[in-house]
Amino acid sequence: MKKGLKLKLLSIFGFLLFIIALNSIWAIINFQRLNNSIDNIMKQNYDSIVYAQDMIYALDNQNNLIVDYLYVEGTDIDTNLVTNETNFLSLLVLAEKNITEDGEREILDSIRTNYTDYIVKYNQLLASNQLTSEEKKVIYRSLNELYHRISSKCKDLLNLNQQGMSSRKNQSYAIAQNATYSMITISIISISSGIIISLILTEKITNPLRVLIEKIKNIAQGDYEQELEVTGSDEIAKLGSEFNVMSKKLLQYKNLNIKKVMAEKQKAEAIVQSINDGIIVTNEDHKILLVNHAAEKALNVRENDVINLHFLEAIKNEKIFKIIKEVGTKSRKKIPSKSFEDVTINNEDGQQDHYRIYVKSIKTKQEESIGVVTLLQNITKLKEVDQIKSEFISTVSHEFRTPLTSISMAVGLLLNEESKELNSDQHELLDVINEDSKRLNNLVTDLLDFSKIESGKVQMDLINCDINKIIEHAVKPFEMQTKEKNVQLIVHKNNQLSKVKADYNKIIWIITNLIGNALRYVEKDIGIIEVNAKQVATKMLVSVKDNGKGIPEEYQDKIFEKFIQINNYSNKGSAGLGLTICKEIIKAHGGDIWVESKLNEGSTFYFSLNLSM
Amino acid sequence: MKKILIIEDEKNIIYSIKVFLKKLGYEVLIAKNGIEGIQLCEEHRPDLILLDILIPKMNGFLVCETIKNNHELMNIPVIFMSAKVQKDDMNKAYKIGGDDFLIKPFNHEDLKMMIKKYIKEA
Repeated sequence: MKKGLKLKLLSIFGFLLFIIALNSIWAIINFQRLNNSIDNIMKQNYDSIVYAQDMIYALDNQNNLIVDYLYVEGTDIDTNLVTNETNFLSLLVLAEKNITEDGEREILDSIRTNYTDYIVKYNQLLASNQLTSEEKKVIYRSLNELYHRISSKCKDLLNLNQQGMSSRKNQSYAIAQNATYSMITISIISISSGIIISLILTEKITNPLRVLIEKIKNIAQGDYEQELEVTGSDEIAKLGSEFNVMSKKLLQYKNLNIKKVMAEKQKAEAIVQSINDGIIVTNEDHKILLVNHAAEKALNVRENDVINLHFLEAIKNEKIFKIIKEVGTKSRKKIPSKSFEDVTINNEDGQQDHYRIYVKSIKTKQEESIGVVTLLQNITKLKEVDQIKSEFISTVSHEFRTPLTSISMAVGLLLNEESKELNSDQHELLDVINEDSKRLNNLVTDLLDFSKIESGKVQMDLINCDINKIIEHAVKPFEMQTKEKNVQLIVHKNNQLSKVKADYNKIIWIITNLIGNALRYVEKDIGIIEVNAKQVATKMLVSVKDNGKGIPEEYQDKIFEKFIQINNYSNKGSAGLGLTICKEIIKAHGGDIWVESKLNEGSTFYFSLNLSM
Repeated sequence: MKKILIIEDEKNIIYSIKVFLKKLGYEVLIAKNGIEGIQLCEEHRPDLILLDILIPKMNGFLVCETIKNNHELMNIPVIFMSAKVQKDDMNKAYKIGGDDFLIKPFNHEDLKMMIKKYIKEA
């Protein structure tokens, strides 16, 4: 740290102290000069004035003594005369030593010359005892003349020194004035330069700090691209360079994070976009958040056009919206929870595409719904295949009928004949053929019933009817069979409103089918079958419960599909269409059918019907 | 002896019905297509006609219509035999004057009951 902040501050204070010191020195010098000039006045002029006055005084005394001697009878030469003479001469010597003014020497020279004459003259006078008054007068006259001359010269000396004093006073005054002015000037200069330099230097220190504060503010607002210009090598410069390092690292960190997040986002988007099934994500207000390529194609929309729009506004498919709405607001009520729904959408080419819609709500950990994911699985191909299969089944079944007719005719005839030509083995074989032809008959009938219902060729004859009556009707044929197997068949009737909108015979068929199934799987002597009708919300919920061996979980969804037979649950002579037909019929009623089952505990089949208004 | 006309192109059906009906004591006439069926009908005036819908040359409905539009033949009961059992077909069959419908597959008992319904034994 060669040039630290400390040094900078010290140099400011040092500079100010230096100016103050300069000022003080200048003041001391001025005081000294002023003092000297006053001293000069005292020494050079005041002393000379005093000498001149004393010389005049001494001369006057001398002169008076001489006059007394000459004109007052009986007066002797006074010793004072000599004393005064000595005084005068000593004063003169002092005055001669203190020559300060121009012309002073000439005056003093003339005083000395005249005074020497004066001494000679009055000593002449004193030397001659007997002088006439006339002579005295002559001497006195010349003495008097000398006296006046000396006196006037002394006065000249006095005046000269008075003048000198006066001029010195003016000089001192000028010096004082100069000192004042110069002090003021220097003070102003030093104060202003001090202020300016302090300002410059503090600016130099605080300016980088101000810039730094500005940059830090920017960083706080998220703009990490901040760089300080670093000059010098003081603490602030060091702070600046550290700041640069910090902002650079922050920027790198931010870029790194953003890159990571972007990469994750792109990955997720790529995955979502590349999925062959259509995906639509909506929020809790049913505004669209995401539409992938497959969904764009399926619904003939563009993601950019529909984002943030309400589902209905953007996609205008009320059927799908209804499912989304149901799932979004689904309560925990025991209303059938369908896992999917099939819809038909007209595509761009005016052809119909079939989609299976799966809807799942996205929930937070607190079980709050924050949106819904809708999956559109294109099942057009499946439907086509299914259609072909159905047609095939229908055709095959039809084709079966004619040969079946001749078989059963022929067998019937042979059995009817009671021919003696048939032995008992042959008769038994004919019985087998007869039985299986009947079974084949039933199968074909089932298949045809199913294909009719599936193709929608069978119209549901929906009338207002009493569910209790339907159940009563359905249960009746089982009286014998339950007795045979010694199982209980319990019916819980619905006590409240029991009117439903349904095809009377077809619902009987369904209940019969369900009871038939149950009967097949309950064990002898301990089996219990319960038929129950209960109103739940706006639906009538009918259930057939058994305590049989139950259905494995992996089959629970599948049993309503076509031709599904559960392993080890063989039901010879069944095409596995009973439940599929049930489902088709219930679907045509606008209801739902599902099963709840536990292995070795039993199964409960539910179906729902609309209440009649 | 009462006469029954079978109009059917499936030889096994024809055979089994023929055997059964003969056993029951009826005279059996057989036509393998629609045109032949109408001819035989006009010639022999049967007491009952068993008519398949899907037959060559002229389908069962047309045959039935022709017979029922003929004043001399219109009183002969016509019983359709078919695997085609959609509601439309049934309705159509009754609409053009068919008397009854035997849904394939049927057995000898069904056939016997149907015949007894229309031919009263003397």
